[in-house]
Amino acid sequence: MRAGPADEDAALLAALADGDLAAMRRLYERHAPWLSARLLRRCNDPDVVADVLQDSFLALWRGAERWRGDGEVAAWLWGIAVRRLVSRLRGRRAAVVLPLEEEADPGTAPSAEEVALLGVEYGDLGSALLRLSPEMRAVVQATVLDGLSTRQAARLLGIPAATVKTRLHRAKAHLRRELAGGLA
Amino acid sequence: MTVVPTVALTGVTKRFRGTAALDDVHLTLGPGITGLLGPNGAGKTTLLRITATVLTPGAGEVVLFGTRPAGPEQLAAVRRRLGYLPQEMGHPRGFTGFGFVDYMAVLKEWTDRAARHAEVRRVLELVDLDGVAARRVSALSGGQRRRLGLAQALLGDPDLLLLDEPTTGVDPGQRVTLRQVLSRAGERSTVLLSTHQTEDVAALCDRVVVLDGGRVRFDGAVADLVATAAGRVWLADAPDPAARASWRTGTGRHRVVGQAAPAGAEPAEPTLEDAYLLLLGERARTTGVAA
Amino acid sequence: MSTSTGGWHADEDLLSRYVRGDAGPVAAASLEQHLLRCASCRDRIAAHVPVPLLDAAWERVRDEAVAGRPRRLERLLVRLGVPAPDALLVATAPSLRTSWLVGLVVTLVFVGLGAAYGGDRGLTFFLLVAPLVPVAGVAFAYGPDADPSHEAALATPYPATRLLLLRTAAVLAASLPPVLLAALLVPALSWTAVAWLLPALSLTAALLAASTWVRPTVTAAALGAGWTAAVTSASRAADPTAVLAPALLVAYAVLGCLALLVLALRSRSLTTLGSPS
Repeated sequence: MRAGPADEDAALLAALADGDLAAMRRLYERHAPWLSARLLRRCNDPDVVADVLQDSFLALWRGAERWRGDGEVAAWLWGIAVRRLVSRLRGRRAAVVLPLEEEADPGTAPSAEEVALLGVEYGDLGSALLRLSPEMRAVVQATVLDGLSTRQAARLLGIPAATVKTRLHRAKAHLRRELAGGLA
Repeated sequence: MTVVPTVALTGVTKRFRGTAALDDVHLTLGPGITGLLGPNGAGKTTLLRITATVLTPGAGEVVLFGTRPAGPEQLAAVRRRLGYLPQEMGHPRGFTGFGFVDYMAVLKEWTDRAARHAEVRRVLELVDLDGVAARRVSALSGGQRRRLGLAQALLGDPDLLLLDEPTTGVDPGQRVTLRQVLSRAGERSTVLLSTHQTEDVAALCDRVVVLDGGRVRFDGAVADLVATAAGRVWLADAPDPAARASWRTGTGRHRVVGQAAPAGAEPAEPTLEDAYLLLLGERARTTGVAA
Repeated sequence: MSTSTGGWHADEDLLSRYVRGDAGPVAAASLEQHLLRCASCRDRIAAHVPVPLLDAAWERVRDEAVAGRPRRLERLLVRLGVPAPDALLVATAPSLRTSWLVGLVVTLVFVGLGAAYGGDRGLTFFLLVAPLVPVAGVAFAYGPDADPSHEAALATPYPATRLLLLRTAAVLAASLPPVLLAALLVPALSWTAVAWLLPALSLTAALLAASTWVRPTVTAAALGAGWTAAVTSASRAADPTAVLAPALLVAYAVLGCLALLVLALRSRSLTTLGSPS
């Protein structure tokens, strides 16, 4: 039986503890591309993104044994990376782009499949999300999708924590209404 | 035009508690690889230490790169141009392989971090340790640690390379890698290589110095030392107790090294080992006496 | 763990639009959730990501990873303004490692408790230990016993005296303040709490001077034995603080200065191996 990709990640992580640089290189090749793409959508400064990549993989290298061995290595890595991004962005407001700011033009509207996928994961969140204002969407993305705390999200978005709370509260109420309406 | 030799030792003598570790040694070295052979306690390590400036001779003169390293500045200037692998080479706790060579590079005045790291990577690749550079030194094998010691000696491509038994504990495959590294270094630098392995000397060196009891017993071309054994090595059907040495080889016949041909023996091509045995006799086999 | 993604995979067009930043919010969020669970889409997105950024970050990751994490002390020294190469050389000394400093603090807690509640015996114990703390620290900061690569280090151009003094300074800076603090917290010690500094510095200077002849650990053992004999005999005679009598304090100061003079005159011999090992 062929080992799945998740098992391969776990095996590579285990090798890191022995100082295996080749395993580190493999993990980097497998995860740095998507991670950098996702980070670049939250911060438009490639230097900051490169710093965050470096921090995240070094944290992986030095703390591989802290991985509990359940779930996806990718999700764990994202958790590390987004927190590193937040701490790197302290006092660097100019480098940040508001995430999900741009509206999709009609030509690149999400396909039914794409929306359906998000529907699978989060109820019919996709279409409801689309109807949120960009500011509220940014808050939902940072907290719900990126897994940041209110304080961290506030730092990432450059707004007060209280504002994050009210926007999130309003967005949730809005989404509940939308989803309930969709079901009815 | 006279070429200044890299190393010029004149009448070098060193005594430890009355016994002479080195006794009136004269030695001049220039670019190329010189092998240093001798039984344990012959003074090889003392000779290398004195040449590496970490030990002062009791008597005699040491001139390196044309200067006698007397003051601190001259000493530092000489040390900038030499790489040294001691016989006993430990490592401070907690270092990775890379970290240790990096530490040595700092001592060798590589202050710029980026340039230093590039140099450390270069020497680790030379000795084929780049794959385990991130591993702790304590987790490396004996042969790998020996190669790590060689890597630090190679930092900065020194003009004088002093290596005290660099191949000890190194497995045969890696030994070939090391020979390639050393032969390349010998093309432009002066390399003095102390070893127990006559094969290393035969494979690498153009010149060989044999030390015994603190004195130089032979100093010349490897081929000349081998030639001294011509006509004194045979293959026979039985061991010869009268010979210097005789042993059963893989083919079932007995190799006899001595003065007279045993009955029914046919002459054999001499090797460096044969010549070494003939030169030193019983003492060639002495072991266990520390230098 | 589930890696099932219902058979759906992102097409090249979506991946490229996502990396360019114009996939639209829902598709992007959707793809991001998908990527966390789909190794095949993670592999395929690599072709769309700028290589220079990845390569540059990798080189830095590799360098940091192989070099190992700098020691705590090394990072602290750099933050205090010590040049990075010197910080590395200082932090390599065994007696400046975290484990040593933890051991020191534990010792001090015991000595402090002894001095506070142990009466004369506690006082003797304090006088015995306090001046020897920096001596032990310096003994395990330099030389063949502290540094297994000492011989190779000697053959480098880095000045041996500078290394010895840098590490001595670091040991004094790390060990004297905790001892002083512990001593000042114990009221029973009164002026003894400060006076021990003189023999401490004098013994350390003697150790440095002697290290130009023999390895520091040997001298430290001899100095330790001598100091112990002095303190215990003073204690037995009546008063352990006799070792801090004014006349003796002057003698310590003179001896310390003489020792430093010897060190200066003989520093050349630090650049070679003292005796055969």
